[in-house]
Amino acid sequence: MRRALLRSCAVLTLCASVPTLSLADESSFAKAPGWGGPSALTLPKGRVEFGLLQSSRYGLTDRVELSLHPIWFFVLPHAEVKFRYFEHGRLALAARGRLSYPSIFFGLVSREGSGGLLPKTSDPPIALMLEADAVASLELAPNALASLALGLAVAPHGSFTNEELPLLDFPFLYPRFAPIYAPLVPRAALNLESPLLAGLHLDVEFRGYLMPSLPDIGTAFALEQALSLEYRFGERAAVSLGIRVSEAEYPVGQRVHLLPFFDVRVGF
Amino acid sequence: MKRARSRRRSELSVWRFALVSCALASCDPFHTGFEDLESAEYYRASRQPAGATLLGPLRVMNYNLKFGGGRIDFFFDCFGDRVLMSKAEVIANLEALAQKINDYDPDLLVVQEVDVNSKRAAYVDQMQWLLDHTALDYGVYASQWKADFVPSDGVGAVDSGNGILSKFPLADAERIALSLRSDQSGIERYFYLKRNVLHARLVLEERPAVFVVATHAEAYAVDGTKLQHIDRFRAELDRLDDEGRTVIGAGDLNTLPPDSDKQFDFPDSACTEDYVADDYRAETDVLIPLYDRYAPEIPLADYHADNARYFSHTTDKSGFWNRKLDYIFTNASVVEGSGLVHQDETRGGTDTMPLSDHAPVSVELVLP
Repeated sequence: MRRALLRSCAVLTLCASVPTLSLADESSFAKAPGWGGPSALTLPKGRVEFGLLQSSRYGLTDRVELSLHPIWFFVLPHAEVKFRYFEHGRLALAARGRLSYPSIFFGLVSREGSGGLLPKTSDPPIALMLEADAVASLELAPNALASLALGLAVAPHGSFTNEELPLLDFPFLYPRFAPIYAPLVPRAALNLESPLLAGLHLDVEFRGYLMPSLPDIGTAFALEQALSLEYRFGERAAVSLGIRVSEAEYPVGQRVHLLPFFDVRVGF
Repeated sequence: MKRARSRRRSELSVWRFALVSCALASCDPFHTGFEDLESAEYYRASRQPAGATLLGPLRVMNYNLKFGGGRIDFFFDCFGDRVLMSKAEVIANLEALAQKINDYDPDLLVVQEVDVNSKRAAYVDQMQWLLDHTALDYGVYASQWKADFVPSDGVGAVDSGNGILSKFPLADAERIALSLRSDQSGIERYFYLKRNVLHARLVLEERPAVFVVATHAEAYAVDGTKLQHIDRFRAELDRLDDEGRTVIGAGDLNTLPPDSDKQFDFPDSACTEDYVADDYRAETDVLIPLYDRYAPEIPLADYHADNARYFSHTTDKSGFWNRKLDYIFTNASVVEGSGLVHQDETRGGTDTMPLSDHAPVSVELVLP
C-alpha cells in the first residue's frame, strides 16, 4: 500500500511538473470548431459537450477542461481534467489527469449469470486509480492535428489475493483496469484527426499499454487501433461511426478483438 | 481529376474497411466457433516416446476428468459457488487422476472435460500434463467449449473438450461438429458448448489400424439435441464398422443403459431449475442400437443383474455413484469379465469418488 502511494505521488508529480514550462500563448492554430478530443487543445471557456459513449466535457477556462461520463460515473466514479499550459505556433502541450474509483465497478461485474465478468465470490479491495498523461499536439494543416500522449496509470489499493480478485481480462477493459493488478502501467497514444469533406472528419488512433507483473501471465502488452468517421453538424451535434481493434497478450495467449462503435455528441 | 478520383477511392476504402470490420466483429468476436469438420490438435509427451508394442490385449479406459476439478463444489452443480481454481488445486487434482490412470495403465485413454487453456483450471494444459505424467505418449484433442471470454458467472477464457491419449501413435484425427441446441437464445448459444465427435486412427505396428471415436453428448437440452449427438456418434461407429474397420467408441453419453431400474428423482439433484436434467425416462431406448451392434464394456445382462455395481456418476461428493453415463463400445473381441467401473478400492483399487464426478470405466480388447 505504501509503495502504491509512493507511485501515485510520482505520477502526480509528473503531472504537475510538466506545466512548469513557460505558458507561452502565441498560437497560430486555425479557429477550429469547438469539439473536444484527445488532443492537447481544450474546449473554449463555457462550452459543454455531452457524448453517448464518450465522456462529456466542459471548458472551465480556455485552458482547463473537465470531463466525466454522466452515466458511467455512477458505475465507475471518475473525473478528468486537462490543462493546456503551452501553445506556440502550431504546437500545443497539455497535461491530463484522471482519478477514478474502480471498486464499485469491480463489485458490479462480480456476479452470477450473464454480465458476470468475475466470479460472484470476488472481493474487490478499496482502490483508487490515478492516470496522468502529457499530451503534445501539432497542427499539420488547418484543423488537422497529430497528437502524442505519454502517460502512466497506477492504482493504490488494499491488499488482495488472486482468489479475491481474479484478473479482469475482458478485451478492452483489460488494459484499462490493469493498474489494479500491475505496479504501474505506462502507455502511449498517437492520434491523428483531420477534416475530410465538409463536416466529415477522420480520426485515427494508435494506443499501446505495457502491463508488468500481472497475475497468471507476468508482463503483457495491449495495442489498440481505432478508426472513426465523424460528421459534425456545425458546433452543435456530431455523429460518428468507427471500429476499434485490440491486440493484446492474455493469459490464454495473444488475441485480436474488434469493437465497432457508434456515438453521438451534442455541444453548446 | 486524378486526385479527386484517388481521394474518392481512398474514401471508399475507408468505408469498405469499416464495413468489413463491422461484419467480422459481428461474426465471431470471442472466437467460439468451429468448422463442421476440422483437424484435431495433436499432442506428444515431452519425453522421448517409449515405442510401445502391443503384446496382449489392448487396455482401454474412458474417463470424464471434470477439468481436474476433483470434488470442489462448483456453481454449475448447485452444490457450491466456486468458479475458478488455483494452479495448486488443479495440479493436486491432476496428480490424483494420473495416479489412478497409472494404476490401471491403459494403452488407450479417452477423456472428456479436459481443459487445455481455461481460466477455471488456472490455464494448465491438462492434455500435455497427463501425457507428461502417465505412460501415454500421444494425444489428440478437440475442443467442445472455446471462448476468449465467457461473460457469465466469471468463467472468462475457456478451452475444454474431448481427448484421446495413447501409448501408440495417433493419426488422421478429426473433429466432427455436433448439432447445436435450439432451445437457447442466440447469445446463449454463441457462448455455450459446441460438442463434437473426435475420431482418430491408432497406428499399431504389424496390425490393422484401429479407429477410436470419442464423444461427450449434451446433458441439458430439452430439444432432443442429446439424442442427435448419440445418433451421430453411432453413425460414425457404423460407418467405420461398415468399412470393415476395428472401432472403439467411448464417451460420456449422458444417458442411462436401457431399462435401468432408476431413471429419475436422483438424490443428488441440487439445482432447482424448471428443467430437470437427470430425468431419463424419455430416452430409455436410445442406446439399444449401440448395445445391439457392438460389445459394451459391461454386458447389458450384467448391468441388469446389478445396476449399482456399474454406476459411474454423481454430483454429490458426500454420496456415492448413482447412475451409469460412461461407456465403451467396440466391434473387437472383449476379454470376458474385463469390463470394470472403477468405483472404489474393491472395484479398481482406488476410491475414485474424490477424483471427479465420474468414475473411469475400462475394458480389455483382443484386436485382430
